[in-house]
Amino acid sequence: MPADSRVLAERVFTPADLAAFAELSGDYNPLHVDPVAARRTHFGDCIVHGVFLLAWALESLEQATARHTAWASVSVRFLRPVVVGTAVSVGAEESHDGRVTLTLTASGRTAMRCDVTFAAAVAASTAMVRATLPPREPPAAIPLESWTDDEHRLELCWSAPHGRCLFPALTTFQSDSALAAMLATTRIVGMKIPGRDSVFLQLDLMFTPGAEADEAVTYRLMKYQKSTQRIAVAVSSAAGHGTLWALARPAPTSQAAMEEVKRSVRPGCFAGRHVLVVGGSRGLGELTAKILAAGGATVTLTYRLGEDDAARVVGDIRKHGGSADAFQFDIESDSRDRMLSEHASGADHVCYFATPPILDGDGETMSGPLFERYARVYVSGLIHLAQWLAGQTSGQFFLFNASSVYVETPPIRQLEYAAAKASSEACCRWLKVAHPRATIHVARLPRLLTDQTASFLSSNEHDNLSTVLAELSSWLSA
Amino acid sequence: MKVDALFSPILDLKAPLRPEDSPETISAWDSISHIQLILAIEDVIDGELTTDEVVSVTSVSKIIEICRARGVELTVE
Repeated sequence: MPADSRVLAERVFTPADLAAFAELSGDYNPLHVDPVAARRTHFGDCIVHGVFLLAWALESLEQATARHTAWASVSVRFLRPVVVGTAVSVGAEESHDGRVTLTLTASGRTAMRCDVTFAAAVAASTAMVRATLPPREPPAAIPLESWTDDEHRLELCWSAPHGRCLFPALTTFQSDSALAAMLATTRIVGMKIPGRDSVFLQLDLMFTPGAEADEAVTYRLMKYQKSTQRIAVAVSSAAGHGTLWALARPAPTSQAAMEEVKRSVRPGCFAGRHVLVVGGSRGLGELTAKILAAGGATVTLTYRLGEDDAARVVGDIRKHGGSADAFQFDIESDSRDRMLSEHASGADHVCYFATPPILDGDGETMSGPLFERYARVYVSGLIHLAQWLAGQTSGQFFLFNASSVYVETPPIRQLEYAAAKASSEACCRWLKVAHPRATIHVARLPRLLTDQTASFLSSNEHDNLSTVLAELSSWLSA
Repeated sequence: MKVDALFSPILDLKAPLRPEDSPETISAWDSISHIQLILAIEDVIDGELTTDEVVSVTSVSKIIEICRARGVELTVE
C-alpha cells in the first residue's frame, strides 16, 4: 500500500462470507465455494471473488467518507489471489482530480488496485432490476476456442435484502442496476466465459448514473489470445458498459492412467508388498499407488479431502486387476493412530506424499508460520508415521519420503517449503540411525506436473511416470 | 518511460528494477504477475504481443527489448 494511502478497513473473509457473496452474485465457481475442488487448482484453496474484494473496498470507502455519490467509472486490476481466511486491508488515496485509488493488501502484497471516479450528481436507488437472486447453476466449461464473437445475454438480478446485508452503505447510494451490473461481471467470468477454469484479471466499467432499469447485461468475446489463454469480453447494460479481462487457468492435472502405467511396470516386481500411500488420491501419490499396484503390491491409499479422487484411483487400479483400498486420514488429526490401526495394520511399507497447499512466501523474509505449517506435515507427521510403522514391524520397515530438488536450489518464493523438505530429509537420516533395519529412501524429485506445481505459463521438463518409477525401483531393490 | 513506473504496481517493488531482474530475482514475479506484466506491456505498446514475444518475456532486459522493437523506449534507473 502506498505510504500516503489511508487505511480504511481490515477484515478476514470467511467461507460463509464467500457463500453469501456467491448467492448474491450468482458466481458459484468451485474456486470460491468448494474447498475440495479448489484444492486441485493452482491456488490450493478457496480464494475470494475479485469482485467481492472490489465491492468491499468500495463499501469501505463509502463507510469511511460518506461520499453519497454515484460511480462514474471503476477500473480494477486483480493482481494476486486472496485465499479465504487471509487478513486483508484496504487503503485509499485521493488525487486532485477526485479520482480515488483503492489498494487492497493481503500478506504484505498488493492484491487489488482500483481507480474509481464519481459522477457529479448524487445517486439514488431508483433504477430497479429483477428483484431476485441469480440462479444457482453449474459453471460452464466451454473451451475458449469454441467461442465466437456473438452477443450473449445474462439476466440482471438483485436481491436488496441480501445486498444490504453485505454492502449496507453501497446499497443506500448506488443504484441497484449499477450494483447488479458490477456483480454480473463475476458471474460472467466465473460461470460463463471462461467459466469453471477462470481467473478474473481486470475490469474497466463506465457507469451511466440515473440510467433506466435494464433486464439484462450483454457480453461478447472481443479478444482471445491462445498463447496466454487470455480473453477480453465487452459487457454492456443500461447501467454501464466496459471491458473485462480474464484468464483460462489450467484444469486440474491428470496423472497417467493404470492402462498406461501397466505398460511401463514389470508385472510382479512389487508383489508381496503391502504399501500405505499417504496422500495417494492425486498427484505423485496417486501415480505411486498405481505404479506399485501395477507391480503387484497391495496398496492402501489415504486421502484427506478428496474422497471422490481416491475412489477414482482405487477404481482404476481394481479395474486393471490391482489390489487397492482407501481411507480418510489426516496426519495432523488426533485420531490418526486409531485410523492407521483400523485401516492399515497390515502395511509394512509407507510412501509419504502428505502435503499442505504449497504457497508462495514473500521471498524476502523466511516466514516462521509458513515453515511451521509445512514442518507439521513434512517433519512431525513423517516422524509420527515412521514410529507407528516401526511399532508394527519391530523396526524392519520400508519408508519412502518424497522430497524435492528445491532442497539444493530453493526458489525465491519457496524458501519455507525448501527448508521444511530439508528438515524432513534430516529426519530420515536420523531414522536410518535409529532403525538400522529399515529401508528408508529419500527421493529428491524434480519439479513434476501436479496440481501443486501447475502454472499458467511454464511447461514441464520431466516425465512423471518414469521419474517416480525409477525412484520406487531404487527404493525397493535396495 | 521508466520501467519501474510501469511495473511497480504489479511487482510491489521496494528497489529499482535492474535489466537482469527476472522471476528468479523478484519475489512477486509469479505466474499471475507475469500475465499482469504482459497486460501492462500491451497497454504501453498499444498492441498485442505475439506468441513469440510472450514466450520471451523472461527478464526486464527482454521486456525493454520487446518494447523497443515496438517503438517504446523503457529505461531503468
